Amino acid sequence: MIGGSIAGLAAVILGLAGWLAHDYLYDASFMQVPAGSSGYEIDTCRTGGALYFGYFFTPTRAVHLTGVQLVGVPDGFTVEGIYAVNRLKSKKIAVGAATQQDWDRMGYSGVHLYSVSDVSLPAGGMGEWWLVAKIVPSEPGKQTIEGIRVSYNSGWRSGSTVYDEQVTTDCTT
Amino acid sequence: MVAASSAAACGAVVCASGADASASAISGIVRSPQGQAVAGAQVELNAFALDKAGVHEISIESTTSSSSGRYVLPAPSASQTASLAKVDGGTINYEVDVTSVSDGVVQSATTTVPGSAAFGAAASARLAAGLSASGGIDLTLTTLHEAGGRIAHASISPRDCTDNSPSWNTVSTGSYQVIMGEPHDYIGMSVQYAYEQDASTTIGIALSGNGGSTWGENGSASTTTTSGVGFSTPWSPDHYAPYVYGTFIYDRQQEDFRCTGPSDTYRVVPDYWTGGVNVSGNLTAYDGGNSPVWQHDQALGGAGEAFISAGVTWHKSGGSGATYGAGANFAGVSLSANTSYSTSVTYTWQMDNDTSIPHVLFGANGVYPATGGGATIVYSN
Repeated sequence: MIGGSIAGLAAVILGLAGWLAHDYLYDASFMQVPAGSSGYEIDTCRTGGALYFGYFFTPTRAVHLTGVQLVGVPDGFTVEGIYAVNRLKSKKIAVGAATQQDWDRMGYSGVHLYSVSDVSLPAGGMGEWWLVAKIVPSEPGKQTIEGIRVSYNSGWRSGSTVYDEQVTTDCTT
Repeated sequence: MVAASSAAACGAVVCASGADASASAISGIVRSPQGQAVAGAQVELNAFALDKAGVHEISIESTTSSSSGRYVLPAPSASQTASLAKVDGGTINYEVDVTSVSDGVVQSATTTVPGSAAFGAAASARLAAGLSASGGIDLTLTTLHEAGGRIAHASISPRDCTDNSPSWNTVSTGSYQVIMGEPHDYIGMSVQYAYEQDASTTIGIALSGNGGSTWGENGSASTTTTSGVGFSTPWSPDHYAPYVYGTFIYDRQQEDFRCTGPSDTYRVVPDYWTGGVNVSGNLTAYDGGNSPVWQHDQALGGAGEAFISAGVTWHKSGGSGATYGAGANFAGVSLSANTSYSTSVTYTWQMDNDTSIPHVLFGANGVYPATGGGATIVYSN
């Protein structure tokens, strides 16, 4: 009976320690999120035509990206992919917001698209990387993607951060 | 304004007779009811001020009578009289109040002195005001009575100066144009500032320790618009970098110590924002290839640039404020202004529909969008 109580107490202690350790290990906040919000709005688009939106991150510690996903995506969007672009190797400036026509016209269709997991960012800056999301609106009218979540490792710690950078499209058919 | 123990006191008899006076002071002798000189009496020169709070009496100078009963009150400076109420074609009515305590009994005297009859006025003007043709203003104390006729006894002990904490009294107001923002756009886009109702701005405080002869910046104060409505600047033309000015009401305040009274230290602090705004100037001559932000960006290999398609709008709200070193100019001192746009000011850049030119934004600090302190000044190229 006493042994059972000790085992139960140990389980509680281990559970509490695990819960605290989980927060410490997996909720590291190493991304420097700008205060407030920002966003792009485009109405010179048509449904079915791809759009490209760029994202830039400035961590407070050196991090390695492990994953990224858009958040608050309406059904009227198809996210074809989120990729990494090396600014130095591509010899091109980053894209903020571009139509498929401009993506091709400005020569971005020729740049190598890396996996997000290839990206390592230095402390305090975007380094030589930026991310781009390729999105295809399938419905006309105004609709908004609320932001982007980025997950990362920094040494043996992990974390994820949501950026409130909106994308609003108001496309015609 | 007599600092006695009863506001309903009566019986103050004014006896104004000859002593001496000059163009720079009011002076005279304080005497007891028996005609003896009274030392240590508190003497104040008061007048009525007219400002946004209405008409109210303010203390201009104060002093203590000497061992011979003599008092001297300096003439107010031009800045001190600027806010004072004028009557009869510009005359300021001054009041000299004196209070003393003798054997626990409060004694007082008061007289009204038109400005036209004080400070070296002609004999005719003094006589017209009921003063002697020359000399100063002597005051004879009488016993102060409370309502009901009882003699007013001093419930106050000698002045306690252990608490000499300062406060600030507003003596005048004025309006100033303050630079609140500096949006930049270069080629192929337009920019707009939109301020919400509660947008706030922190502006520097001007301080003078010598009665207003010289000023410097000392500290800052925050103020918000009270207009009840937000406003937006007009969409800027192409290739434009104007200053956005807001009109603020400033208060000129004098330091007043609880015990020792007013000092020669003045300050000018922002009071409220009128809500008005105007946009003027064009700073683009400083932009382009000569822009330090652009050069910094280029030194980093274009790390802060971003291509934007024609017809796209980008907005940013929230974040750190923009500080302008010459936000306001007072008495030759450039006071800083910091427009905090945390949740209340939005900057929007609208790319035009010309697809023949690349629209490029680049931000401060070599990072786009700017994430560090200072202004999120975004240029286009």
